[in-house]
Amino acid sequence: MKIWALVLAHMAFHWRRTTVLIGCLLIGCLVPLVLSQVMPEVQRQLQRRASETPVVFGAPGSSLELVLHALYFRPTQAPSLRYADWQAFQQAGFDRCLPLHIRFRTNDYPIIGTHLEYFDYRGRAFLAGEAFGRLGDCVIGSEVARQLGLGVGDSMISSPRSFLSIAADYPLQMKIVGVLQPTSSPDDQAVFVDLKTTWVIENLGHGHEDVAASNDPNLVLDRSQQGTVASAAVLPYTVVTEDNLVSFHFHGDMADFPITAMILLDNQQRSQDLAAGLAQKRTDLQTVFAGDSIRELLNILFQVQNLIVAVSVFVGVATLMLFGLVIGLSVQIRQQEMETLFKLGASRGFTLTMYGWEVLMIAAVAVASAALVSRLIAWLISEDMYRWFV
Amino acid sequence: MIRIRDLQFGYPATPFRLQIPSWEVPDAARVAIVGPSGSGKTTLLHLLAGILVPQQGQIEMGAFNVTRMNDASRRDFRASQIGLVFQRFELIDYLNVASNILLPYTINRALQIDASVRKRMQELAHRAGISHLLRRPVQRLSQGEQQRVAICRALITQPQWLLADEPTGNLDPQNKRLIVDLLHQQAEVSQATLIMVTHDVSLMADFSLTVDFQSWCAAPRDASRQEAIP
Repeated sequence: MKIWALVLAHMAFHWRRTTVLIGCLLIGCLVPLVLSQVMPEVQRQLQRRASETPVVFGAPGSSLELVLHALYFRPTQAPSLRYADWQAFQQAGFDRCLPLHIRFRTNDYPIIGTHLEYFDYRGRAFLAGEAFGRLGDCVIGSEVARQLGLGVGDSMISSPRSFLSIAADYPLQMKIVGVLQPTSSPDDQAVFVDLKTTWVIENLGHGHEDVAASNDPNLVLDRSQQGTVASAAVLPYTVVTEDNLVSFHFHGDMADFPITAMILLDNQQRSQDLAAGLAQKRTDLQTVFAGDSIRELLNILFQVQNLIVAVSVFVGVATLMLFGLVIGLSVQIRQQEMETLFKLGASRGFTLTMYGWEVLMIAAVAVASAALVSRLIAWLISEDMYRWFV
Repeated sequence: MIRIRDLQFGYPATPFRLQIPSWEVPDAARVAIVGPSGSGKTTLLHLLAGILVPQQGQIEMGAFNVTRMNDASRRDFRASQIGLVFQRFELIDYLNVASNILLPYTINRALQIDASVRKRMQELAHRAGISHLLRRPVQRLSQGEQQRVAICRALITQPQWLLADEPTGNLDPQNKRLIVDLLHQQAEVSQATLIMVTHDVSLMADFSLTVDFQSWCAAPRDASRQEAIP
């Protein structure tokens, strides 16, 4: 206890030096500690999502890009599938296969066009409201609701893909009808709509006033027995209401409408193999087992982790050398003090023990602080840790 | 009683040699040691305290034969029986006044701190006029106050021998008088032997014995010169 009193008094008196030394060691320890805490959780979250979405179908291209697109709603440059591709799977009996259309964003969150079954198959529950029931409705993830302060009854407007496509994409005002419970998954950060709503945003369908019944000459270019040709003055509705809902219609064959991916939410291995077999017959369709791609991704992450740890070791050695230099200089500066302690009856070992305890205490505080800070960092990003890596 | 017989000491690789054939100091004596710089005055204090070990001869401090002790015993002896006061005070800058006074109890296992020690610390500080400064960092004290703290530190263990190495060397005349009076007063109270190295002839009158150190230094002689001051 006696020696502790001296060591603590010295550390407190030279608190700036003590703080710098603790800070240097803390920073040296922090990176490996954070990685050791974060990586297992990242691995768990990525693998959980992959196991929930075992098989992904998409256009030929990068399998990893397809998995990140279908599971984590990342943008893709790959060509689209057709809605008919999904219909073919339905006809083959794969009920738990869902189409996805992920091209648009609102307030920087991806708009996911899919079917109602998405919520059932993923086991999603509602914090408020219910699933979308008609065109123009949307369901938002819990983080979207929290960060934007939105709830049931509020609206969101879709953004055009770029400022060059203002005319091509449709700024649709969507009505929020439900908020999902938090799931620590990408669903928390997404806006879900019916597939047809994304097609409206893509300008494949629209609603406008009944031109045939209109007497306004500015709205009609030509009227004949075959039909009525509307002028450019006819503006499409930007919001779907009970009154204008019936006016919404699509141009073209819906089977040719685009989807960007399909997911099979079926944990039966046999179903997965059969679906993969069905897809293999098609050259314009690729099948990806999400678990395989996520393992590839994790391997890359672990390699990066090893690289960072290796760099940290070098930084740590440099830090320890500087630490040793500071302690060595401190020993020189305290020579007179040590001589005084010896004259007053302290052993040479006592003074060495003082140095030892001081080094140990600084190291212990640094390591403990690094452990605490790393836990704090891990805790702060624990819920959606995967976002930092995908 | 301090007894020295046939003492010889020299630092390695230096021509310095200290030789004391015989020297005795009675208990509770007040001894002033004078002599030129480098003559070995401080070395003698260190030999008496067991900080240095002579190459030859015997040093008896009362019942303790310092030259026959091992290193650990000499440290314990020094911590419990010797009070040391230095010219440059040698206080520990990161401790406050109270912790500096109690320092011998902090650094040596032979000494155990208890309520009586703390009470003695209060009394010593009161007598030295620094009882209101006990919680103050020593860096914020004047030179005179710092030396008073050093004297309290030397006396806290109730030593039999008080060894002061030019304790007034860095002080102004007013503080010099105050510190010397304090040393004599405290030595009187605790019946300790006071041996003080000094260059200040104005202080000689306060001591019962004065030792001119020049005779022991460098050139070996048969006898020391001790001179009683009336």
